[in-house]
Amino acid sequence: MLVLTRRLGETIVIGDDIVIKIVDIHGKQIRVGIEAPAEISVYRGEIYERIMLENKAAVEAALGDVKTMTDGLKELMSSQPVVGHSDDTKSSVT
Amino acid sequence: MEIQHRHLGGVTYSEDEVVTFPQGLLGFLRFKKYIFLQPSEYLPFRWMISIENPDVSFMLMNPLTCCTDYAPNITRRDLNELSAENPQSLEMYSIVTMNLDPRLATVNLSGPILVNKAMKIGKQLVLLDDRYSTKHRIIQS
Repeated sequence: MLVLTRRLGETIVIGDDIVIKIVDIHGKQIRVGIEAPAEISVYRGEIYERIMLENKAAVEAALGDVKTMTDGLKELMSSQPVVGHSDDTKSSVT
Repeated sequence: MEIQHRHLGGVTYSEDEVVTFPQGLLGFLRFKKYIFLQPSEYLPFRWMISIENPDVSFMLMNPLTCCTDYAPNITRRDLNELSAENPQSLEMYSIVTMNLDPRLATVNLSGPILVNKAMKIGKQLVLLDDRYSTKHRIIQS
């Protein structure tokens, strides 16, 4: 692994169009700014890992006796108090 | 076209039902083409099945069913990748991880599936925020 020392405000350039900038340093926390083209996905490492593991767990579970599992879950869901239901996606765009 | 699915048997589909995930799903990056099914015996859950490898299949649910204020942040970049103008034109699902003990079944709120039905493009978001868990219990005891 390439290891570089950087100071606050300094950057690292990867290829022609990825720029990583050290934006802020607070004790053990470092804020990093990333500029990359739209087709490059940027993830927090631990969240990337967690979602990959959960996708695998979901596929693994769906290989099992999924009908029984679904029926059991449906029964519990129907006896659960209904907390209201909204159909529109209230997502915000940034 | 037909695929064999271990639970649903022979599944017939037409080419225009196939949704492409250009980036695939984490852990299954090789598989880009999925079909969505809602067999009545599994409702309210749906299936999302890879036509390239039908053993790669996910059970989905509407996240709003168990988390009424669910509002993941959808960025312009996400919309661009989905060829969508606004989030309202997208369908949103969350992946369910079934469990032999149904009280332990969870839904992944951190990696929702967005689909632009008109354009047949899908994407799994990897939310940057920590509000939502990958293992949200469906049954709150």
